[in-house]
Amino acid sequence: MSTAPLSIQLNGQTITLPIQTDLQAILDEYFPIEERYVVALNGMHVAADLYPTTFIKEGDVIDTFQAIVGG
Amino acid sequence: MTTWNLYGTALDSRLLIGSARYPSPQNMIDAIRISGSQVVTTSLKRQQPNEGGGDQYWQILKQENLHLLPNTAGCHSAREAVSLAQLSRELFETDWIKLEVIGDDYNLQPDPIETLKAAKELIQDGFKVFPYITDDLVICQHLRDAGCEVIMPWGAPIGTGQGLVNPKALEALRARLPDVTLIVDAGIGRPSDAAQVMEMGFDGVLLNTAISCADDPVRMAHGFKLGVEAGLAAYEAGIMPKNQMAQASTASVGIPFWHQDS
Repeated sequence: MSTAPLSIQLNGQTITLPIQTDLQAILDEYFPIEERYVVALNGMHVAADLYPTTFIKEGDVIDTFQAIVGG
Repeated sequence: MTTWNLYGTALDSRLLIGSARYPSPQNMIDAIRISGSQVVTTSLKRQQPNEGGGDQYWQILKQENLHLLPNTAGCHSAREAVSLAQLSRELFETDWIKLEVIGDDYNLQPDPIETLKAAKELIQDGFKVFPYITDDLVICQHLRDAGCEVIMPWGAPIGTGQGLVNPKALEALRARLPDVTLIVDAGIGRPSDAAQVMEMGFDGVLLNTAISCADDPVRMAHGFKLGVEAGLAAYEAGIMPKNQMAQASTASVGIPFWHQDS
């Protein structure tokens, strides 16, 4: 089993992570603020209650979204 | 004003407005308030939570106690739209979704095939779908059959302010879909356009740019409120049919014959 760090995309930026990292840990590390946002993993919505059990794989793409004005 | 409902939610105002392109957040709030609108469209975008702005906007809207109608603007496929709708449902805490799947970037014409596909998936997933679509009767019938209780045909391409470019098509929609809640969305330029929509028997009007990009958005929002109310009142009162021949409005009986000696 590989122990090399994972390389993923977070909002378009490449970051490296230890293996066996869950989504909650990433969000806690990079966005430790009380702001309202939602998350997509590889273009698919991930509900907030699934963050701790969603483990990240090599090449995954994580995007965060916030409210904006709209017509 | 007559109460109506959207997917079981009772409303007074028939005017739905967008939240984009206002000169300032306060101006947006002032315009929304004076418009009387209870439904405001909103959106989401990819953004770092620590960039700021997104949370502030959310807090402003929350304070106004409005019904939020998030859109899927920018999507070009059913897959994108479904994903964005699911994100919106969590962020805005609503199962309402203004479904927009754009098929042509030049005039922002919706893609009817992808819109229908997305509508079916979203309805199966428990969403209450408000599809933005062209004025084509057959695709609107398909959307109704898929379970859309509300359909939103365009008046003209988004942001053009052209008014109703094809009123005959809209008349046909109203006549053929009497049990569907029909809201004209996009292309509305002036309050008289909104009045025309309501006079035709449509259930509501959704617009953004005509208010937010006016020289005075707050005053224009008031104008649109009056336009919608005037059109609805006229429709409910019964508009007289157009006649080919003139008909005197003043009775001629009893009028002196001034010219009988000439």
